[in-house]
Amino acid sequence: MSEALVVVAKNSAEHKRWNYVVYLYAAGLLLLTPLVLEPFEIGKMNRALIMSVAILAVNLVVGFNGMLALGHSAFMGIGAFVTASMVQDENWDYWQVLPVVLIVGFLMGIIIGLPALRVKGLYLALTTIAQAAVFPTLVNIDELGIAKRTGGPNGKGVSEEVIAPSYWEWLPGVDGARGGSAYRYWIIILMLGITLLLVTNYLRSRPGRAVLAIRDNEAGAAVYGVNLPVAKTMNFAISAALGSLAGLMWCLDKAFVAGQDFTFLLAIDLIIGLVLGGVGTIQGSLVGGLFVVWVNDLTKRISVPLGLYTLNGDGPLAKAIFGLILILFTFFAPGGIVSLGRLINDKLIRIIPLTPAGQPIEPLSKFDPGMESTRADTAMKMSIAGPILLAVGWLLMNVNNLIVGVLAFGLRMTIVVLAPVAMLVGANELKAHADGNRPDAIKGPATMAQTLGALGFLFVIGYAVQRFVQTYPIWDIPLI
Amino acid sequence: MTWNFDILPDFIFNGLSLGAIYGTVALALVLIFKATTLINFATGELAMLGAFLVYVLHMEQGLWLWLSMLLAMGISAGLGILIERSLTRPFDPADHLPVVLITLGLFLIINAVAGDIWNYQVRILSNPFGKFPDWVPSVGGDRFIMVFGSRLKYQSIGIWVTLALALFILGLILNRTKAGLAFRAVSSNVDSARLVGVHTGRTLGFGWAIASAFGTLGAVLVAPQLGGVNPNMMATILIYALAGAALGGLDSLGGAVLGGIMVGIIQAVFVTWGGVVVLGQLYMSILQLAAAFLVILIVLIFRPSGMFGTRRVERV
Repeated sequence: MSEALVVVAKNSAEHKRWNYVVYLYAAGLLLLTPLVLEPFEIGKMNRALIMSVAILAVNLVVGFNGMLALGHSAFMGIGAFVTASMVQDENWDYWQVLPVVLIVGFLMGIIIGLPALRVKGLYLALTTIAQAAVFPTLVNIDELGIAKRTGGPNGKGVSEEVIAPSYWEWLPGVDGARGGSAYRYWIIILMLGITLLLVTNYLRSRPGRAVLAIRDNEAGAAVYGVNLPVAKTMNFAISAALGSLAGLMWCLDKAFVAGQDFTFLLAIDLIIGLVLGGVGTIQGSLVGGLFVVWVNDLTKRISVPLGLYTLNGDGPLAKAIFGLILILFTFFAPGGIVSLGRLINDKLIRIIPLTPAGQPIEPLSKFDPGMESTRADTAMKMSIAGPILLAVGWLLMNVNNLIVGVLAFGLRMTIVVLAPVAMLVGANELKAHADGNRPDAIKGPATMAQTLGALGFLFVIGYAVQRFVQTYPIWDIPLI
Repeated sequence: MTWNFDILPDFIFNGLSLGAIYGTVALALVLIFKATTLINFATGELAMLGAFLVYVLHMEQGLWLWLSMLLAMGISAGLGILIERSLTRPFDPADHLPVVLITLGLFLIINAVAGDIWNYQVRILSNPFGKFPDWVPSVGGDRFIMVFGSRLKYQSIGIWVTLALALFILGLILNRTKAGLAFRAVSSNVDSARLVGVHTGRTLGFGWAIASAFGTLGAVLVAPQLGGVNPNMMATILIYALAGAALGGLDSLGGAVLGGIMVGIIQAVFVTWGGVVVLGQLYMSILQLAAAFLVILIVLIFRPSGMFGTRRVERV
């Protein structure tokens, strides 16, 4: 294996700088999205983030506890219908419904999870698949006031407006109908952020560690005093509550819920997102949600040009592609996109752990006299490739073909990743050269990589600003 | 509340014939579960594909219905062997997740391919028990006889006879052939079977083949009750079959058939007759699927191994 582009000691200044840039960049991409995208694209992002929350819920059971749950569409449906009914019929506020939805989801999780989780084996899959199939039919029951609450086969609309508070109004995109998709995006991303934080902490807590122990060795966990049925059921109930939260977000975003939205196919979509993103990783749930919505959207657009059977623009193509993805990923990438990302990350950076004395356990550079380092050269090539791919992408943009269009978009997007990486690697090599602790750090290519990378980075920011001004004329915004 | 017992036998007959079909599909599930402790979620879609094969061979190519059924069962069996060899054998059967994901992927692909070829409209498939010769006793030339003052359709009798015949043949295969002996050995203990020289992979393929053939049989028998074949026809049948398999015990072949029949009777007698006729509440018919769900929950609460299943003892 070739050496990584950047080798840093753990917790060194370089390591921290790399982490800061990566996290800020990821956070910036997510937070700035509504400023750059068109409103209907923000709507898709909202849907993807809601799917991410639901996939995280499934992940808690499948990825972290090793049980198979196929029925989270029903928990989403319960959350969505409770929200719709309380907001529409009882005039509650969304924030007031939140605790109710969480409690209802939790209790449903206990009722459905407990019988199956007392016994070992695939029984949870059996119960939950039936639960997913049954849920859409239960919504239509006329008696007991159920159909009145759920709207029956017609679905239920919510007329309550999500209106941005006045101090939000200076932000672009929050003044449209229903608070604008951008305002809902901010709410959803806030809820997603809190959920991610809580789930991460839960998995580090005592019950969370018990759940992980059950996955890795059930008998061993029991020996160490974990009450298997209780731990599994509590975990499943927490997951169900999270699924209901995703349902609340669904209702908040779409303002319309119907039984047909929460069928077995939605549950399968969640499983696919989980496998696509990466089973048993938190980041995987995020990536999975984005990819499921993206693939669904793409297949809807290419079904007609490919001459495949479609019904209302929605054909079997998405199902076939998802099925193929499931099988191919299970065979060739069981870790999902996150494992592929980790492979790339390992090529980019290697973090060398420290000894208790605080020294790196091995030298940062395995420099062999007479052999030149290629790191700075690679960084330089990346910094040059970025603009070239961008230019090619721009040229291809004018070809009116969907597949070329997707390719062109991909080429244009490479600069978003290539530029900051080249800049960071260049800066790292320059610093090593200045410190004189690594004779293989060459100044020339490193300088060039840093400069070109920084220019590309500035270009990305400038492009975002330009899209922003184009979408929301800045002179229209009263500055508070 | 009207206790209308006069029409109760109608519902029982109906439940028995539906239940026999659920039992057939449950048998397909159990045949695979017994050998691999794996629930094959693509069972229903494989069966649907088999029914469409019959549709193509019989309705489009004009072959004799029973011949096309046998051919379709054979082709499904081949497909089952192919799937077992190429998609599930590379994985460790003790680790459920990958194999179940594979079957879910198959579920989606088969459904999508059938949807693209035949669309999602219901297509009429002739009833295997639609025509009977004149010497068969009937009421005014209709296709039923009167039993306990109720109509017992020839279709129901036909389904029972077919299922009984299929079970008899399955029993012969499992108890009188070498492959059947190997299958029983593998389902009782994979490792021991391998140690005494049984080719476990090939035997599992054999299990998949029989299971696919049985699934196809169930799908063809149920098609007339659903008005025909369509790519989504097995979606609910699979849930009833899962409930039946859970009720009978997931590793008991006879239990699967009995469990399926009991689910059919619960659906017809308790939900349809009890709910719609006695209580007079139409919404109860929506609860048919919910009844299957409840059956699964109740079985898991009171007897997780089902009526005839063996309690598994785990060694730490």
